[in-house]
Amino acid sequence: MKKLTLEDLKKIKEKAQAEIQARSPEGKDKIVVHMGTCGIAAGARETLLAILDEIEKRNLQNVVVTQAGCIGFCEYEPLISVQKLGGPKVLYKYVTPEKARKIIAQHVINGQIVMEDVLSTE
Amino acid sequence: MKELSLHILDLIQNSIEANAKNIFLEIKENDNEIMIRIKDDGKGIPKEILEDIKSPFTTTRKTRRIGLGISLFNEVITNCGGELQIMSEPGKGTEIIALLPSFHWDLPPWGDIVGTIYSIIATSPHIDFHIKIFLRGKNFEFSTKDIKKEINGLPINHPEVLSFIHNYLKENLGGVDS
Repeated sequence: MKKLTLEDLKKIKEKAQAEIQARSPEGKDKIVVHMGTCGIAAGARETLLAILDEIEKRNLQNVVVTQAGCIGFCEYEPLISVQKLGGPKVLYKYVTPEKARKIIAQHVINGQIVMEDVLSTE
Repeated sequence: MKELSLHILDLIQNSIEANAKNIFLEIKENDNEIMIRIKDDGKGIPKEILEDIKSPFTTTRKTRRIGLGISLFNEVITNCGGELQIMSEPGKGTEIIALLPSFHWDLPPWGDIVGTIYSIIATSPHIDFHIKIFLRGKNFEFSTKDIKKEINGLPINHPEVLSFIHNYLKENLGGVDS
C-alpha cells in the first residue's frame, strides 16, 4: 500500500471544500467528551475514539466533537453530553465505547434520546 | 491509570485548560532512559501553587480543591525511581519533564499513543500540536500547523482530514503501543 503523504491532503481538501460549498449553511450537532483525570481513568479516551470512529465510518459532517474537563460527577464517568441542533443538552453517564456507538446511531442520527443512559438533561 | 499514554493525555488536558495555543510533546527512549516532555504556552501556574503542585490537594481550579493528574503521574515516576520536573511562569506557560529508567518492574506500558495524540487533535482543533517521538526505533515528527497549512481553510476536524491524520499516525507510529 502506498504510504500517506501530505500531498494526499490536497486531494482531500479539494473534494471536501467542494462539498462544503454545495451544502447550505447550517449549525452542527455537538458532542462533548469529559476528559478530566477521572474521565480518562474511567475510559474516556476509548469512548472518544469510538465516537470518532463512528463519525468517520458514517461520514457525519454535521457533528462536532470537543472535550471538556471534570464537571464534578466523577462517579458517573465516562460522561458525554450530546446536543442536537435546537434540541436539549443531554448528559450521558457510564459511556463505554459500545454505548457511545449506540448513542450516535440512536440519538445523533435518529434523534431518539437513549433514556436508560441519561444522567441529566437541560 | 494503567498506561503512560493516559498520563500524557491527562497532562495535555491541563495544557488545553490553561488556554495554550501551542503544545509540544516530546518522547525519547534510549537503552537506559525515557524522557517525556510536555511544554505549552498557556497561562502558567502561580508560584504558590507550583511549590506544592505534586500534592493531590493542590490545583489551580477554584471549585473542588483536588488535583490528581500530576500527583498520580508523580507517583508512577517515583515508584520507578524516576524524576518529575515542573517549570512554569505565569503568562508564559508550563514545561513538564519526566525522566524514567527504560526498564523497571513498576513501569506501566506505553499503551495507545496513537489514540492519545489523535484524541487531542480531533477535539482541540484550535490548538497547534507539535510532536516529536523517538521510540522503539521510530523517529517521528509531526505538527498540526503543517497540516493546517496544507488544507488551508478547511477545518482540521473535518471527518476526512481526521481520517487522514489517524491513518498517518498509525502508519508512522504503529508498533510503539506496547
